[in-house]
Amino acid sequence: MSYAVEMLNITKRFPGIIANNQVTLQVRRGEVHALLGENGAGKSTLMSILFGLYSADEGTIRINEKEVRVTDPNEANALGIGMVHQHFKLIHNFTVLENIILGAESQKYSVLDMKTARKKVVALSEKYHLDVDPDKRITEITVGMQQRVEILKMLYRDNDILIFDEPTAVLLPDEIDELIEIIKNLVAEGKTILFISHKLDEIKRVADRCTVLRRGRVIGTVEVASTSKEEMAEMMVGRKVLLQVDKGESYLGTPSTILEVQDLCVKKRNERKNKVDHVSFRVQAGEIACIAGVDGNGQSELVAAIAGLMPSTGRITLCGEDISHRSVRYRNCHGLSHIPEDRQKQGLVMEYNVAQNLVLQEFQEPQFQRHGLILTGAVNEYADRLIEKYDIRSGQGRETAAGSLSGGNQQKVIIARELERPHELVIAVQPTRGLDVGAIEQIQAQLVKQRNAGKAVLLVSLELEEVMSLSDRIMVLHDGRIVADHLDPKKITMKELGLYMAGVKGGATDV
Amino acid sequence: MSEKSLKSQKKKSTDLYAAIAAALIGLLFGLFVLLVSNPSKAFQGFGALLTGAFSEGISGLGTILYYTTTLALCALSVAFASRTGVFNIGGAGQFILGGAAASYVGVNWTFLPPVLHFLVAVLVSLLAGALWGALIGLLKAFFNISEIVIGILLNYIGVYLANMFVLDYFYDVSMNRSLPVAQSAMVPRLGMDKLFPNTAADAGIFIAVLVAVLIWFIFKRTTFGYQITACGNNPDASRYAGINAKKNIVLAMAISGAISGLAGALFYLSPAKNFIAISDATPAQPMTGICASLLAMGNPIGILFSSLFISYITAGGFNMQLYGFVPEIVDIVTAAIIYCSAFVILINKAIRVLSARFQRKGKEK
Repeated sequence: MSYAVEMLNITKRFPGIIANNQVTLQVRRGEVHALLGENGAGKSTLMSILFGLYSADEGTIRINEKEVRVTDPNEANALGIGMVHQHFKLIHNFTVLENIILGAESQKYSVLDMKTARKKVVALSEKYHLDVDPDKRITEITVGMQQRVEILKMLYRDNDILIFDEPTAVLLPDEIDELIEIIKNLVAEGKTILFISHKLDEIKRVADRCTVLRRGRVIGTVEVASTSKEEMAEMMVGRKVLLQVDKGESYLGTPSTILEVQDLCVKKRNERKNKVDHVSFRVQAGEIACIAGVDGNGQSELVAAIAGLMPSTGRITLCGEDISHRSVRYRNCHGLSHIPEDRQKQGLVMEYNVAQNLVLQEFQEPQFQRHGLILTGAVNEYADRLIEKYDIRSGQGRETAAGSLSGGNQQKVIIARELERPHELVIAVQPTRGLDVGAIEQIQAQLVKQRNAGKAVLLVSLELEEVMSLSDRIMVLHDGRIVADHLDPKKITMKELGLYMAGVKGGATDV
Repeated sequence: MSEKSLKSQKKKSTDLYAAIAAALIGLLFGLFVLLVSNPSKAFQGFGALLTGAFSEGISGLGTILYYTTTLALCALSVAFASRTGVFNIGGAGQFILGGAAASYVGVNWTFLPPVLHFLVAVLVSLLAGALWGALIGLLKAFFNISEIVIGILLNYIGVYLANMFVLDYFYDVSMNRSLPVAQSAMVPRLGMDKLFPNTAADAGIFIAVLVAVLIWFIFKRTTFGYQITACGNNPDASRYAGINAKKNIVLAMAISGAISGLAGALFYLSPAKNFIAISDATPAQPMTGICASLLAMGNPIGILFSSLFISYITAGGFNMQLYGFVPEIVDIVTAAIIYCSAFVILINKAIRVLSARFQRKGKEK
């Protein structure tokens, strides 16, 4: 059996943490090899070492049976290694073609030779059924298409070891199907694929073998076909995992409305159309109400308006009090907790450490300050308690900068902060996006616990499975309007829900 | 814990090495300029530059401290604003207006008793500087206009406003400058003149040190410092957390302006100066202050030392004229040294990369 990639006994240390500990990964030529692990398990570090972004402290790398040293991505490229990063590296106002040839421009008499380049790109696009229009600008194409541009970039450079870093995190369900088709085509043409993911379904569908990492160590490499999802999840997390949420009946004593939104409209400056268009709904204590919908149908704006981050018309009532014209801070102090959509942009100050981030709203409360002086002792004590309770893992405890935490742990910091401060309503926007099974399970359990404690939970999610398994009631937002208000997740099928989301089915119907 | 303190110590020491390396590169560059302009006298001139500040013994330190006062305050002003993510390049306008306002009080309000007179003059300078700084903050926060554009324009408006103010209210026609400040409003000497005879030294340096410590404390311990830094690092997260970013930007700019105004007051109220010359040029100290702030990477205590270094070079520069270097060349050399200091961030990065590489090599062996 010949190996395309062998990483033998790789060790990489960062201050306070061993990201990879004697990791050995062997990828056969022509297979799809999945790399499975929780956030912070060391998948990205390992791939960065292979791609020359980091260099290993110990261990050797062999590519096509030859020992190599990869010190920068250009060298990796020369060895035939290409990578589709989780966050695409594209220039938005360049065309597809320009992006593909960038850094590998073909020249004729030192003049850019676009003709040859175009021929090659078009040929590749046809060969692998990528359907990419080389003349469109990146801003004009969908995220799924952008990913194909990234794939074309690798093919254009004649790479035959292709690394995909969580490629499905940004895709819609049918785009995922197409991607898997593309990957199968690539393998049929003799490419070797390294597929980083923590989604067991996809691994099951696409991969031949799978190497599982946990806390920087290899737990094992398994044949995917003969291993069940539950077994893989257990290898990854280190204990039995519930792949289904067990949430029990919703607790509704005497129904009391926590949040009431009436006739809410949000309009962006310079736009004629309302982003949120006359929306009215209620969220009761003890329920998880979910707003489903395709991304960009007004969810972000609706949440921003409720949180006070965006001007709106209409009425917002929280615990019986009209808060439509109150400041963000007032809302935060009067029962609103908000787990924001973008944890890095909105949820955290990356330069601040964990302790400082845990008191981002509360630093002005009397328990954390006196006469404008921060009570460092109290803050630290509080931080240590939350780190323990929410299992926030970091290199240097509360002193770790938020920016150096893994994505899952960043989210845990936010969730700890939002659920620990006094509140009646939790707005959770895509709380599990990009997280692994273990973290998703924890976070979903936290939300259910909130519900069972009689809090109101407003969940905004793009993941249909999450919507179906977690919510007590589903509302569908399409084009800024609520097209369905009281869908029962037990009675509706995913397909039906999809029709509402696409705007095919509509009207304020109750099921 | 120990690892954490080790790491932060390492970062601090890297900052220090980078600052020292930047200063050395600046000095080498200065030597190069001298070699080009007059090779035969270059090394003598360079020697004068390095030791000139102490050519008359310990009293030279008095002059250095006198320069340091103004420079350090200007640098602190820049450092304070940069914590909110605003680059205060408008220090010159705040400086001259603070100085003019203080001088007006110093010349005209002679009914006030000695120490109080000085304090009132300083207070007025703080207000003038704060207003001019807050104006930048307001335009930045509410209309999202680049603080750099506003700052530079307001510098000129500030200079001409100060000229107009002097001409109208306390002008000395014969000298084309403002009337001298009354003795009672001058910066107290507090024995500095006894310690460093025949120099401009006064108690201003103590005020500068006090302000540096105060700023360090604000960022280390107060909720105000916490908010400002949060706004500077991530405005979106601050807004999400209910921190009023706009208010904080305006407030931070007002304080930054007040510090520049204070620098102006201490400069123009010093017994060695005590007047404002009518001039179309913006004062130079605030610009040099930007360099001092960069060299210290915005660390308030570090700024005291970077300002000391720049002042030392400036004082030494005067002595180069003994070796036949014309004042213009002296200015070029000192300016070159000062501005090379701005490479500190680059050097800082280089040191980190090199030391990482070195460590890796060590392990491989």
